[in-house]
Amino acid sequence: MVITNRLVAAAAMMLLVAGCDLGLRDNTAANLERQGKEVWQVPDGFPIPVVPADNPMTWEKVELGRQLFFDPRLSGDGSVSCASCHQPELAFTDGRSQAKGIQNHIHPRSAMSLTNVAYNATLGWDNPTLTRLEDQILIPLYNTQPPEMGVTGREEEILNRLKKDRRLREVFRSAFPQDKPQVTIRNVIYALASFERTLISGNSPYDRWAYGADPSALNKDQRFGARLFFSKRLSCFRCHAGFNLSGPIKYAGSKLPEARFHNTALYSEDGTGAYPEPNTGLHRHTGRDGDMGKFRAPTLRNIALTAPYMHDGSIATLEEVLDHYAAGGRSCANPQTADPCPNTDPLMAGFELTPEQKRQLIAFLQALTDQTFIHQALEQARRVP
Amino acid sequence: MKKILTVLFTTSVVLLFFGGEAFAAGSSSKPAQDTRPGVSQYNSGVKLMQKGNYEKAAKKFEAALKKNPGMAEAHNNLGYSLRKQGSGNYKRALSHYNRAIELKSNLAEAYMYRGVLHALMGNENLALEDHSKLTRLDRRLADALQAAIASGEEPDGLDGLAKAW
Repeated sequence: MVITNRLVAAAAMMLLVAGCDLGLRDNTAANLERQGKEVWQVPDGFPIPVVPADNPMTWEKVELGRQLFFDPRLSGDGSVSCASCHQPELAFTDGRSQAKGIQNHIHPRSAMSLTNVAYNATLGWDNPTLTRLEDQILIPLYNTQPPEMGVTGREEEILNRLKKDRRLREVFRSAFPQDKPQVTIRNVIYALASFERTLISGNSPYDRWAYGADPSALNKDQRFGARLFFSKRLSCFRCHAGFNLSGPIKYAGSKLPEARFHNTALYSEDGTGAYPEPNTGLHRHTGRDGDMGKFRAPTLRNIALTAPYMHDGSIATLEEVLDHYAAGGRSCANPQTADPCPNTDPLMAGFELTPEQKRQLIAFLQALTDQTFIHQALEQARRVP
Repeated sequence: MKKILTVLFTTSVVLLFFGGEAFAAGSSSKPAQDTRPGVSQYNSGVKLMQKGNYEKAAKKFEAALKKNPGMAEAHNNLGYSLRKQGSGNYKRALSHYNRAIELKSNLAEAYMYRGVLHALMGNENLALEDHSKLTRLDRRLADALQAAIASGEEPDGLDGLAKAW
């Protein structure tokens, strides 16, 4: 990840140079919020996401970002787009245990859902310092170990491809009217970030029950499942927390929360809690033994669509995920050493579930699927010229 | 829940000890003590409540309200102290939450605690109405209330979680 960090820093420098003339008029919080409200369709009861002062939301940028998101010309060899790993019908995941980049390069971790990514306080599975989408997007574009979209060293080639498209040039011009030149990597990234900030899901049956004053939105099993999910006994909601059912979030007016990562007892390679390289979680960023195997709790919104599960896709189904948590994790089950899981989150204490309760909990998790969101995402994909 | 109350009560105590005007003006790093009637009884009640002595705390809040019937925070805390003494007090507790909100329509804590009480009384729709109002007043308290409504329980230690959320 050191490589990735360097890569991000280098690319960020490039962007700083390229992004001197941002053409911004009013970056006050109130104006950013107003602009955001015009572009977003934030569901009732949901807060407005944070928008960086240097990348205010505009319809034009979102539209450009949408087109680029589905455009394979953005990859080095023209073979993959952002949507290859973030497919709308799978809530912007890819159904794979490990993501696949250009030339079938396999990424060590699973592609994360982009559902409500605008609210995430940190991005990626385990990076505590990655907080802006504009920075995160650099990773799939520029990563070389392994290559994901393979942009490194082929920037001019890619930009030339985009510039040759007269219609796309017009969209760039509308999105960044003040910039010269307009078709730049920096603008590609800023437009993608703007588009991704619009991927807000908040119309699941659970939302209609919790926010929509519709007591019948959850059926009996789903309602009982919600009771279990939010119960003190299971405490699922302590990590998958708040309205986003996720790790820490940020939004307009909120304080920046402390980053939180959890070891869920997936591995204990050496009998003392080690996770297999390179997926050591927060540890690979901090080097601290105590951070071994700690990963961010992703949102559970649309979770029924995002199998397989965990950072490495090592659990195939929601049923097996529940079995994992009910057992208190799989790495501590048959201890070979005195303390096989020293970094395991204290909440991984295990619990008992009857078959009926398990079915109800699954029903609740399925009630977090927002078909409107998926339908709209598919429509967005279809509208790509 | 106990911790969240502690934090919220601490906020109220600070407001009552030192007075809102001085803070709002930002003119003094050490504002004058709040001398409004009922404040000392209220603060005593908070201390008792933090120790879990709800019966005595309720008496202090009642004394505060005798001196200052318009103290919304005292109604809110009286509602909590009554509720913690058992379901036989739920109706009285509810009337004090209602009064607190009548007096101070933006008192987020009162919506949260009334929402919890509604949930415990089985009035899920009323609890969700309070949740809806709370999403506009205090997002993190709204999330805490949402967990309480969904579970039908009074979760432990929600203050830390609400802050983390």
